[in-house]
Amino acid sequence: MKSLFWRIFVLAWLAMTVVGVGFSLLVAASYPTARMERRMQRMVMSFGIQGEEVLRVRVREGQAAAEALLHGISTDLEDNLWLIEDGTVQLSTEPAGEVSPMRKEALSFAAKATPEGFRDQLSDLERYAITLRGEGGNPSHWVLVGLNQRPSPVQRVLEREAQRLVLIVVVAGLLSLLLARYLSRPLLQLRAASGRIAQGDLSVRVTPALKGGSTEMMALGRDFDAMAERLEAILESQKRLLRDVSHELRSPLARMGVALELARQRAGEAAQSPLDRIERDALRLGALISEILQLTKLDAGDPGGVVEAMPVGEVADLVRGVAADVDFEANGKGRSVKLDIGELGNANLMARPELLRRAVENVLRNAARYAPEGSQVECKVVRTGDVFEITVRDHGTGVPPEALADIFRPFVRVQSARDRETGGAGIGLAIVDRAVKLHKGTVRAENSDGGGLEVVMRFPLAAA
Amino acid sequence: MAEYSLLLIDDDIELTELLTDYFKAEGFAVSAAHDGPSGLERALNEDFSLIVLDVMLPGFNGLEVLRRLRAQKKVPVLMLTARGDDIDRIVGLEIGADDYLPKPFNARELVARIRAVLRRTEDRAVATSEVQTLVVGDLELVPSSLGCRIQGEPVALTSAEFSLLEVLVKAAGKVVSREDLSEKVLGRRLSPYDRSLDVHVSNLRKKLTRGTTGSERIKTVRGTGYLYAVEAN
Repeated sequence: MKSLFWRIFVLAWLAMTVVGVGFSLLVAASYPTARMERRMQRMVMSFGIQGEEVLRVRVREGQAAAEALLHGISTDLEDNLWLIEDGTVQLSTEPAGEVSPMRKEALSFAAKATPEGFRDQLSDLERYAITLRGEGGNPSHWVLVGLNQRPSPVQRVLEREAQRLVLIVVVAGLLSLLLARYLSRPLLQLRAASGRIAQGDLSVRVTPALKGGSTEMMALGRDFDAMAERLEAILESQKRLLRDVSHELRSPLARMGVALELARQRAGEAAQSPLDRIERDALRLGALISEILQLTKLDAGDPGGVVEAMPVGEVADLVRGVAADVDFEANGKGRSVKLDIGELGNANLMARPELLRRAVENVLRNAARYAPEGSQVECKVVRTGDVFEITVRDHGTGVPPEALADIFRPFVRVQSARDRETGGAGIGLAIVDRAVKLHKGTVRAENSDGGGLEVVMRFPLAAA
Repeated sequence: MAEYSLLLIDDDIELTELLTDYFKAEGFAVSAAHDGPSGLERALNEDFSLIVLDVMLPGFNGLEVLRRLRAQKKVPVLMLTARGDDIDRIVGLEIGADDYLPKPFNARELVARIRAVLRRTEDRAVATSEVQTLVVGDLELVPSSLGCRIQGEPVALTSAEFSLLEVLVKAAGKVVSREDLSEKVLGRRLSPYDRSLDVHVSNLRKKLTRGTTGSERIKTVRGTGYLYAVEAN
């Protein structure tokens, strides 16, 4: 049982119950000693005095009267009594004519009698025997024996105390409950708050909720809030920086684009070719800025967009759309994209649609870029169990095995003259890597047998 | 042919100067404003053929200008957005911009899109002279006023959304390809990675209530285009 609340509760309850019950039993069980003993002793002595009275009555008024008196005493005490002279029972509280099964017990116990009275308890049988004094106060041959069934002290304690013990257990339980609640509540609140921060909600603060708690807890709460505030501030300033950088980089490019067109309008034939190059590089710069900004946003933990549950059919549609676009673009350069979508069944992918689209687009465009002229890029969408897999394969030259993991790092390009031609800056796959991870998926690149690179993206699915 | 007049609302003064030169060479009359309030004022008080609006205006945000403008005028608007910022684009089209172009843009493309929007607006002006109300099921379209009613209740549509719905409704029950839609609604050829159609369809779907059978009125036909669903009665 791992929960903090239950651990505190059970331990406290156990401790309180053991202490409470144990103490109670100890007290109750030890009560009979000393004082109890003295009281019992005095009681036995008083029996002796009463027994002597019975003897006197026997002498004065006869056997019957004495027996009546004995019965009177016994009824009071609820004891069985025997008056024994020299080993013979002369008077007893046995029912008329009957011999009690305890008589033998009484006779043998008589031997233990002393003038002060001897008392003991044999399990649940309480016994006492006292030597009676005769005329003139001298010890006589008479012994008074009393036997009674009484539960042992522990038993007696348990019976009498049973209610009290139950009460102790119940009260201990309630107190433990309150204690466990009191101790675990602030910790649970902190846990809930940090959970929300982990989910991305940085506006969470705990100080109001922890008000009235212990100084340590409140200090912890204040530290927690300070941490959250700093995180929030850092993230906000990063976002702002990104927005500003983005704006500052785009503005000159926009102006350049228009100035370029003006130059074209006014320049002669000879200038068109260099102007074309300027335009191409301006486009490259624009694309590069976009990609870098996107990558920075992803790394800063600001993926943008909302997570939604996309049915696998919709994801397939998304791939279809991107594949059609890339195919259109690639056709212009003598390449094509072939799409194969398998049986998908029903399930949902927790996705940020725009980001997912970007990732698929980057992988497909990358493949189209490295596919040799006249060849095909194959894209396969497959669902197995709770994994959604998108595989893109080209028939190009592939990538050296030692670089297969590196291509997902920013600005890494495989050594090849074609790179400069095709214009990739090496960021596209880095974006794919971040995007796929944000979808809790994996991406892997392998050289496919038959030549070419194969990029496999896997995403976990949730139930429909 | 009457000269078209453009209003540029963008805080980048150098850019507006360059664009003014460029547009003049293309045969347009050009005015420029450099902040939201003055841009809005000129747009409301003067007559322009088309307004080019930078969404990323400082302070008085470009979308706000668009919103207030649309409350009073139907003048065509082309938004300049930040590349990669989808929200602005979607919201802008929803409020009623006719088209958008991310910065940095290709100046030739900007002119092409401006002309496409102007052409569309003219075609519409011609079409409204034939006051033909289109009725399909519980949907009623009035081209002359860009009015739309569903079960008698009016639905506010932007000019682009109206065009899109009109094309689909005229072919109700039949698929219209994305290429056709791009030509007829956006006035330009479909180019890859162009998401305007998808955004318009998505905005339209949000505005139209479900049919009496409870299913989507505009259905996606995978790999081809869209169709307006006719309920079997």
